[in-house]
Order: sequence, then C-alpha cells, then structure tokens
Amino acid sequence: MHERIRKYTPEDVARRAERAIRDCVMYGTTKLRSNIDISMLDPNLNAVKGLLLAKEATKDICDLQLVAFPQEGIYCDPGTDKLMEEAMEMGCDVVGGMPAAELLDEHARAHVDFVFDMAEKYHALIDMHIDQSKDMFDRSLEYTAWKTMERGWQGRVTGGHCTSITYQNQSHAIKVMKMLKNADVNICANTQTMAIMGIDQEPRTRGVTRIREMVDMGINVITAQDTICDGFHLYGTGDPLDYGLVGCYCAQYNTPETARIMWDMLTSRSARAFDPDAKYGIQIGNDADLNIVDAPSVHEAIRIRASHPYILRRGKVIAGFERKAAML
Amino acid sequence: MLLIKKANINGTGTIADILIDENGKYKEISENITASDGTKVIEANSMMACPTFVNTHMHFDKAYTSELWQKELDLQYGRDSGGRDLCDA
Repeated sequence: MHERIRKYTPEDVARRAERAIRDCVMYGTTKLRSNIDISMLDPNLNAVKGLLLAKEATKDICDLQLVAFPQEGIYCDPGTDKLMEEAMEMGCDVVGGMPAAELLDEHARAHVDFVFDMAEKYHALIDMHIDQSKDMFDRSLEYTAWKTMERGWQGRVTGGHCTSITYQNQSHAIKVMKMLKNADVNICANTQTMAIMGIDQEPRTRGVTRIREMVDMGINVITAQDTICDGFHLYGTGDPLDYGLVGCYCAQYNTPETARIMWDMLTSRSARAFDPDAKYGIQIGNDADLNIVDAPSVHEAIRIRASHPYILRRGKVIAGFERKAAML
Repeated sequence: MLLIKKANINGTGTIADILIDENGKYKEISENITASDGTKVIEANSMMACPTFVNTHMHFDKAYTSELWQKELDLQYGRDSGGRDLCDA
C-alpha cells in the first residue's frame, strides 16, 4: 500500500475515486464521507487533489465530505501536522484521526488533542479511527468521549471501528459507553471490513464493537462500507444492503425489529453523523433524496439485497439498479 | 413536479402518494394525490419509498488499488493472470 501511495497522481486518484463514488450512488447512496490519507508518503497531497477533482465531477449526484486522515499517525510521522493543516486549507471538511498509530500512549492522547484543536480552528466535524484492535489497552475512545464533553463538541464526533472496547472488562466498558452516550459520540462499526482484515494475532477474529449494548444504551451506532477493492479489502461493492447484511450477522440482528435498527444505521442514524443539523427523511420541505426499493419490508430488502428501480436526488431520478436472477 | 404513486412509506406498510416540487423538495404526502398537467408520474406499486442511504466511512483514495497491484505483480513475474484493470472500466 505504501508504494502505491507514493505513486499517486491527482488524476489516478480522481479516476479511481470517481468510479467508486458512482458505484455507491448506483446502489442508492447520495451522502458520502471519504477519508483521505494525509502522511509523508504523499507530501504533495496528491490524494487530496484527486478527491477534490472527484468531488467536483460528482457534485450533481451526491454530497461528498472529505476527511483529512493521518493514517500513519501524527507524532510518529513528523511533518504530518503541517500536511493536515494544508489539507484543511485545501478544502477538507472533516478532521480525521488515528491515535492508535502512535507509539506511545501520551502521543495517542496528544494526537486526539491535536484533532480537537484543528476541529475548533476550522469549525469542523471530527471522524477518527479509534481503537480498531483487539488490544484492551487501546483506550483512546474514553479519552475522546471526555474531550468531546470538555470541548462542547457533542454530536459532532464519530469514532470508527472501536473494537477494543469489546475486549475490555464489562465494568470498564459500561463506564466508557456511558461517557459515549453523554458525549453523543457516534460509533461507526464497519462490520464488513472488520470481519475480513487479518492484521491481528490468533484468534483470527478482528472483532466488532459492542453494537447491541451501545444501541440499547441510546448511543448513535452506524455502519459503513469502509473500503472497495484495496489492500485492506479485496471485495466491497458500495451497496449498503451488502454491508448491512453483514452487519446484521455480526450484531446478531435476527428479527424484523432489529433489522429495522440496521436499516436505520444505514440511513437516518448515519445522516445524523453526517450532519447533526440536517433535515433528513420523507417530510414536507425536505430534499427529496429517495430510493424506491422493490421489497415489502426492510428486512426483506436486506435479505434479497433488493433492486432500487429509482434513485432520486433532490427530486431528480439519477440512477437505478435491478438485481435479476431467472430460471431458464 | 414528480408524483410517486402508491409507495410503502419507509417500509412501514403505510401506502401513500408523494409529490415533489420543482425545487426537488417534498410538497405533499397523502393518500391520493391527483397529477396536474406536466407532472411526471412513477408508479411505485407498493414498493418501499425510503430516504437514500448515507455512507460516512469510505477510503476513496485507495479504491480499486487492489487490481493495480495484481497488474504490477503480473509484470514483475512476466505473467498474465487474466485480471482486468478495474480502473480502466
């Protein structure tokens, strides 16, 4: 992956990104948020330039937020702090983070502090990868919840993956989840990619965050595609019903009622993380961003990964897809 | 204007018509809306009408790089594994 990033050109990134964006729209998604690696592997920020080109090329079919994401860390990748600033100045919308990339616990905390400082400076939302391991000693999540309350950033922070909390003892995990609830931090589980990324020691399971407990406690839990055809994930279509189905398996959501929770994680709950102030849904006065889905219920739509003959953005039909199988 | 007839609103089982105005906003949602002249009509036939999906965690900068690696490996080992370059699709 590192060698590929060093070879990025804006045009190469834009071409691949635009194709993946159109894939997502084709399956009925019109609001997207993409991380962009910010690191010394790409000191000219070709990835940012490429995503800005792709954003412009797709502005009529989706809303795309760009996250300045320090994949390789900030303190263990000197120079990244200045690149993060530059990326925000170039037009990134959201401040990302990766505290687990740091080598020392104090650097992980300083990394979170850096992200909040930058978010305040640019009045931006925060979306960090947090504690995406099986290591019970990865504890940036609770620090992030604390910082969210301290800085008054409630509802404007999202934590991605957050698997370490699953391996922490129950009393500690409950304390952290109460903090997350009080801080109104969104948790994005990304179950499909977490199920396949094999970067950990045995046992091979990569883990999944505590979806059911968090939902039951009132935390805004969501899930997303994460990646399409890269070094982390050979698969991925951009179809929310694909990763929603995997999400149901991982969360053991096996009733019509819990399938509805998963549907909400793909729609209204994610909309809240995307823009806490947005008007979303089928209500008079709202933008008509609408999927016509060929299924009688949301759990049936997830089961058969139903066709969407019409996909509308702001009242205009922009796409549609049919899933077909037939006995011959 | 666009009128969507007989949609299952949010998969709740409530069947209604949806009228969308020239600015792309919901104008009316009720049981039986009559299309005025010039209004396009989509017959939903009880299919679900749901808000579009929202996907907040992507890495579009890396998308479709896996096929590029395959191509590079093929070059390195002087072979052709038959994989197409997805980026050219």
